[in-house]
Amino acid sequence: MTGAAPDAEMLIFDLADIANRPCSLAARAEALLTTIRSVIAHDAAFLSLFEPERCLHSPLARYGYSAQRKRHLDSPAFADDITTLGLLGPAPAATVLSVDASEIYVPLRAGGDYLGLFGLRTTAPERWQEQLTVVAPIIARAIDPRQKLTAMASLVADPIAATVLTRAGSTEPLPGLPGLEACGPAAPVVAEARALLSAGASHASFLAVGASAGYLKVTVLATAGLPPGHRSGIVLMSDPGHLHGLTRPELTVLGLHLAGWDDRRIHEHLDLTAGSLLESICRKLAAPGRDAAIVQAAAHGLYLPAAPA
Amino acid sequence: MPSHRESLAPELALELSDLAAATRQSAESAPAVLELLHRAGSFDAGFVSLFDPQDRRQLLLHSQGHSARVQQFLASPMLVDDFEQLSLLRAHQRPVQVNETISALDSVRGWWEFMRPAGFGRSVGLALTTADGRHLGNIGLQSITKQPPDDAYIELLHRLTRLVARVFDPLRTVSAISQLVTDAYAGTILTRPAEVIPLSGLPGDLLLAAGSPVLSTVAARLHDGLQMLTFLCPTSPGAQTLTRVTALACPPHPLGRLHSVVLLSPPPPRYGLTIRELQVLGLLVDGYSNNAVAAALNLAPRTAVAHVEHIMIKLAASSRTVAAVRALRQGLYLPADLHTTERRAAPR
Repeated sequence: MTGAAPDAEMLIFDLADIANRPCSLAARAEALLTTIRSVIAHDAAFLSLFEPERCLHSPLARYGYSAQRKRHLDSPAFADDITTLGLLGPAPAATVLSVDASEIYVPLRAGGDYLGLFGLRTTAPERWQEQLTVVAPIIARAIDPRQKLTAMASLVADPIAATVLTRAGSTEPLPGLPGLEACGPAAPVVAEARALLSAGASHASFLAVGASAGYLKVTVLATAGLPPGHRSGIVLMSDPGHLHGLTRPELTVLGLHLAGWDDRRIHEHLDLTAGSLLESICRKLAAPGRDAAIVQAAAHGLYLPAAPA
Repeated sequence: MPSHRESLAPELALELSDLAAATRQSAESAPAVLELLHRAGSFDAGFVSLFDPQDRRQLLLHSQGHSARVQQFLASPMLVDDFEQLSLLRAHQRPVQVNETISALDSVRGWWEFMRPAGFGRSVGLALTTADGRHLGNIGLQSITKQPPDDAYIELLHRLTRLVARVFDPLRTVSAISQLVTDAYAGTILTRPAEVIPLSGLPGDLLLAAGSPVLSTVAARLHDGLQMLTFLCPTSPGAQTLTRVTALACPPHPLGRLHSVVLLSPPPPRYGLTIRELQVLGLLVDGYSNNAVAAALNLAPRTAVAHVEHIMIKLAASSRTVAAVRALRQGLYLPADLHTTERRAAPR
């Protein structure tokens, strides 16, 4: 075992180790750069995540660059350059050299999606091309922000469908799970989830009626603060769990109360006495009073959200 | 063929980190791990077991290619004794080979009484150790051949073992979950017998000591399928400054002793709510009526009503229950359990 081969192999295992380290993406990126530096001599390097909605790269870790160069790396112009160099698109190059051949750029992708960029400034960067191609997938795994979303999904036992919500109002799939539309109409569920998130909820759950007319538990978790920051939350569908024998009208009444409707309006809307329903709800939830029952139902997601007026 | 295996290393490392990142249960991952190790070098039978340090026992997670008799041995305490003799319970132990050259001491009884009679010529034992030195369990790979494996293979197994350990680490998902509170400054893991385990990457805190009121509140409120709980807490008893507590339920694990991850982070915007109003919200969250709030906080009923009205205005809520639910979801309340002095009389 001589030459560069054992070093390269060590590098793969060391990077894989970091890829699973329990720390923030930024801390992982730091550790990746430090480890790579011990094998590949260079004077500047960066790891950045691509923000599709703003079409620019935001840095996770970098060193060795001037303030001016940093501004350029964060600019939409640089993202455009990268596109021109052939790093994005359906058939991207594995690595690309900068125009003056002092830097090498490695696109980081996972599951066919472009995640971000690894850049390195060194003399004769072309001699590292092959090695960087080998380690790029592991670096991509390490900084894949969706890994954090997957971890978040594990808070819900046996999720059956999921969707990621973005700030700009669109949705993204969550790798490993089908989208919400697999369970029935997704639009009302997504609208309710967005309303909860914009009201400042860090977590919330409610019921939805699935395609087969059965109930589904919907769990909404805010993801603010996770880089690159264009995702606002994640919506997960799972088995409804224990419904305490609550009937459809009872679950509907709970939803109307949670939307702030008063008794009279609920009475007129449903053509029934909401008061008597609340009595049976209290009994079923073993709650000491109607307010306790409503809050308890909200905490456990035991209600059908009122349709927006 | 070492050269062949070297080219395999990146592929195997990548797949192992994918397995570790997936949220599958340990038992489901075990066959996938053995399949992956099989590609590094073939074997005829194998097993994965988890070590429970508390009871010093081995929990057989998965075995393949073994007879019922051998499986019985694998599930027996004898396995732990054999592992002990072979140093396989030691952290960061390199792979250990067992074959017929091993002396017939009763030290490695399982090999002579079960594996050898089942027709195996050699066995390689792996010790699964996390980066922070916790022994998690073992993997055994049995082959009919007696030919000892070459050094390159053992070296590759050693490297892979580190990554395999990650797949079975019960704290893996837990630490991953703790990353969700991106501004956490302290954290701990609460176990089922109400003990605490340090959380890798975050310091502990006095508020999160075993038996602390914060942890009792978490244990009392995070159950019945609730996945997450957020509330406010004074930074020290009686203090006016507040910190945010977030508790996340731990996903199930075969050695299911973990209850939740509890994290402290800076408080969210308070919408101008006073400490008193946050206390009132704590009672509304528990379903107290206005009169019960007044009784619990030693207030005139009219004062309690005024507090509730102010809260509704500040939270832009159309009813007291809407305010309570909004507070619950944003963690904007001081739980009744944390200001124990003034209540207990109120009905629950």
